[in-house]
Amino acid sequence: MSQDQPPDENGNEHPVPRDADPQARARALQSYLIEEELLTTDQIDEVMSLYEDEIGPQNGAEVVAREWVDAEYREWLLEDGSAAIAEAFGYTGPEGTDIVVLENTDDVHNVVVCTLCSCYPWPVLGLPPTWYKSPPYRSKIVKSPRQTLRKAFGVDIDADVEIRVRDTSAEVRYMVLPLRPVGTDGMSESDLAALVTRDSMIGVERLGTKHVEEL
Amino acid sequence: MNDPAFEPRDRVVVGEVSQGYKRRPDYAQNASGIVECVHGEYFPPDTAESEFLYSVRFDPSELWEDSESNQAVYIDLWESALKPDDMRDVENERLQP
Repeated sequence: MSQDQPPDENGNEHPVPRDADPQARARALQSYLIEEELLTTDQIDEVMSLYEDEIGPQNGAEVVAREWVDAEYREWLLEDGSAAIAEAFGYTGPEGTDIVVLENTDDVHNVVVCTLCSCYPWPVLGLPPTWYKSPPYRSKIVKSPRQTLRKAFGVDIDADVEIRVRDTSAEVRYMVLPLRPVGTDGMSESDLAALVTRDSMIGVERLGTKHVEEL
Repeated sequence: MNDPAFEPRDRVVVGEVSQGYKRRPDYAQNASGIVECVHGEYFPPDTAESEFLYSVRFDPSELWEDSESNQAVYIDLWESALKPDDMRDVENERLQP
């Protein structure tokens, strides 16, 4: 561990530097909560396995694939994302009781960020990737999205496509609805779902300009 | 139940962080934007009173000096963070270059 921080404005000392290893901090917090009997290891394991095995971007991919094949579902999804996702698939819960689905088109590309922390639609995408929570992504995508998408993600968005950055900073969670890749006519809903990536639902990948053979 | 103070297409300005729920991005302070939609009424985490939440669209030139073109930033903002923008209207997009 590195040096301590100086006392704060109230004279309190904070022996753990703010940039300390987050894993070590999480472990310390976890053992304290267990010691105080506020939490059990079983409860922690249960949540962990839920988000490792059951709740992840595969959920959102099912929603997107349904939208690609079912025009009525698409209308419902864009009108009331939370209801269309919860009622058709049962995906709802913490960090996702209000989900707004953002439609990409030939002229519009949406990308989601939380500049203040790491707000993310858990029921459809699971827990956010590390880069989504990192200060560089949070500060750069909102100011220079075109350049950030190109440099950090290798995604070139045509100059005539408007990039809409969604700074999710309150109660609503956003999921991007990517365009269907080229050459996917006649594919089944489950085969289509396998093409939908987490990154395309955050908006740092653009599926609609890709051919199925590139995926 | 109250009515929202703003409706879609209204010009609004993000006020100083002095009252109401304080969580809002610094970079939007004093910026002028257009209400995209009213999300509805929610409870800010630090109060028992519900408040309307909006999605507001900002031209990046409102936020940064050296912004990219053909881009917009949409920020979810609570009603207490917003003031009507009396200086502008949608038809008269920008007063100053």
